[in-house]
Amino acid sequence: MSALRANSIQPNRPSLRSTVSAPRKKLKVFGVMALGLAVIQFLSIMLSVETASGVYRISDLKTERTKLETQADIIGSKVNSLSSNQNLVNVAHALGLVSNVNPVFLRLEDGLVIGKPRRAQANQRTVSENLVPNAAMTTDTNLVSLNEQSAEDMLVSSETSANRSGTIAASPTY
Amino acid sequence: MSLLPPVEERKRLGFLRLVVALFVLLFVFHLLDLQVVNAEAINKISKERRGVDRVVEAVRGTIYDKDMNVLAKSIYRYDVNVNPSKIGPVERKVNGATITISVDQAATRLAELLGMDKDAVLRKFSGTGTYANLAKKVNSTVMASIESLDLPWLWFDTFTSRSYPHGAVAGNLLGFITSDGETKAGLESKMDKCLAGVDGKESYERGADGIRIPESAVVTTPAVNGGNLKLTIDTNLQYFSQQVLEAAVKSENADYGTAIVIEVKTGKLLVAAEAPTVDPNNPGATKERDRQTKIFTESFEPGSTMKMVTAASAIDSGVATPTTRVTAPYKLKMPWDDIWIKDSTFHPTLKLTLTGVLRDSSNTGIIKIGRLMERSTRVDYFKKFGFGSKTSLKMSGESGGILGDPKTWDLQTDVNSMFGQGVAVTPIQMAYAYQAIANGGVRLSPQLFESCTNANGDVQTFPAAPPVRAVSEKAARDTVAMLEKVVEEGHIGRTAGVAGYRVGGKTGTAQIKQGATYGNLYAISFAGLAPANDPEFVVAVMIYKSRTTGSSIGATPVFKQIMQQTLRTYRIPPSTTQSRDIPTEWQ
Repeated sequence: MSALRANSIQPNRPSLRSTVSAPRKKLKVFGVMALGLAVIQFLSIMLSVETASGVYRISDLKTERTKLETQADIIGSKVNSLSSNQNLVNVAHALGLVSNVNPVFLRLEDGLVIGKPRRAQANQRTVSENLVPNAAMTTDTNLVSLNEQSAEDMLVSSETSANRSGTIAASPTY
Repeated sequence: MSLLPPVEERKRLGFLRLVVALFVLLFVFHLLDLQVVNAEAINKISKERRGVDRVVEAVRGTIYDKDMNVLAKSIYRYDVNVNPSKIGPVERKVNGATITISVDQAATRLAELLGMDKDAVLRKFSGTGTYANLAKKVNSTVMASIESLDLPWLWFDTFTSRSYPHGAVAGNLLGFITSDGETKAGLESKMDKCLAGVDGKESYERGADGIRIPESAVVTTPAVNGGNLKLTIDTNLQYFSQQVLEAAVKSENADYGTAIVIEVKTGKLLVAAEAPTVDPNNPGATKERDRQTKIFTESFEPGSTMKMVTAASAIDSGVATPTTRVTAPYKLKMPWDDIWIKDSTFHPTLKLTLTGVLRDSSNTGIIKIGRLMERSTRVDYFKKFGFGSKTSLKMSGESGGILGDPKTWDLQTDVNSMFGQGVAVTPIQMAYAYQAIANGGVRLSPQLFESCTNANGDVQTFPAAPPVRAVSEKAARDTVAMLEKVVEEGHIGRTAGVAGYRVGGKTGTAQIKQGATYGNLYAISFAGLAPANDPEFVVAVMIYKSRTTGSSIGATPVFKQIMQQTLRTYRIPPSTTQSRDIPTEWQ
């Protein structure tokens, strides 16, 4: 209809011109739209890829956190066990330590010594071994290696003392 | 270019369009059926098949001692599960080479790690089911070792569990939690409101192999963790006291023993030791009767430690002084029936002051002093010292002791009550009666809880119940001075002395009723304070049904060791003054 109307108004213009230009314009519009959609699709894919990799990263970090928590739990249990009163008493007993029940105090105001210094001695009332159970202990001090270690330390200490030329080095001052 | 005539071509094209349209319509209808009409039912079936709802356990709060040492905490434990239908050999790459781990090898290693028999593990592997539980609540060490095997048909279910890092230290006080998560006795039960959290909810999806799909969890209701409870207990001193008490109960071949340490000026309970004790990590290893908090739940006839109360009451009411004179025969006939009250060992008639009566723990002497007061007056003092009612802590199963109705006491009970028979008290009541005397006559209510801090960081404190003045300050001072003489000069009392310190206290050897009469077993005890010049600590020890010494001489060494350790722990300097000079006898 529009082509006929155009011909009636402008009879000198070639009749095919307008019919060729309309599809080209449409094609351009479709082209732009298709390109836009492709770009959007591409961006969407990129976003998905990025999100997915983020999810995997979060998952990895969560797994790592769980592992670290487990490790902390295992180490914490060991520390609790080794520092428990039960373990300390057993180790002290194995090393032959006896608690001294005769404290002596020095009063700073006048330098007075309060209390009678006496050597720690075990008697029949001395409780040395642990009597309080603890099922939470996952480990304890290896008393055999501890005794071997302290024997070695004593040996090294006495050898070092013997090699000295009669004087003991003063404590370093800073 | 089509070879068909245009009409035929249009017909075929129309037919094709119709077929396509029908297919599209079919798909649309089916889509509507799936997405709209039956969506709910399909979702439900799908969820039932793959989706799992799970309770997210709230983490129970931690219990700390006064120095923030952990006494109880929540930890993770793991159930080890397998899918028998998927169990098979597993391939591993070791140093570039692929090796195959057979089912038998995997079972051997799992049996080692779980402490099980290999055949038992293989039995769990058999069958075509999708679930079999290998072990329950294994610890993190075992879980990590199993996890490193990387078996695709094995998975873990994680649970929170309770751990008590110091084992049986304060075990009777803490109580415990059963494997079902039920709180049992002690503070776990009493303070559940502070410690328990509120569970949340989450849902997750399960794969066709029955194993949880990672990252599929959706939290629908977040969990709120429990609060942290801080106690007044001193863990190291508690441990020391339990050690000493455990050894004493064994050597006395007794039923049980209790030891209490109180900070006099604050009323804080530093030690609440019992033997036998319970390790809350493994409560099943202890007999049921020994899992209670006997310090609060068990009442016993205290015997001579009660003479301190009678003496203090007499001084406060003005009927006696530390030097009031009495003649104390070995036995005294009561003016009713044919009843004789005797002292524990034979002695000629003694001329004692009230201080001497306490020093020698004379029953006949204390009766003569006690009868100077009306019954109602003595009973009022008993109540002011805290006997006959529960403490303000109101622990689960706590006893208030047994005073009965003093108006209905017979004459015998009335007299017996003066030296601690015929009435029953709990160990905690007797300890706080001595705290009152050590604190200038003012009895403080027991303090066991410092605070409860909830998940938001809000701190709740537990105000103490109002103090009660039991006796005047002067009467308290006089009583402390008399108690010092018990430790300085008393036959058994002197074994409670701590070198370098002024100590006051009183022995107790109480007969225990067996049926209607008193038997041959005794509740032996010693309660005392130090330093007497300015009391800082009260220690009260009781050993029930001593079968070895049968006298308070079995309890004094326990008192001495605990008091000694307490004074040393808190850096209390030795006494530099002498005790008051009070005559104990007269001519």
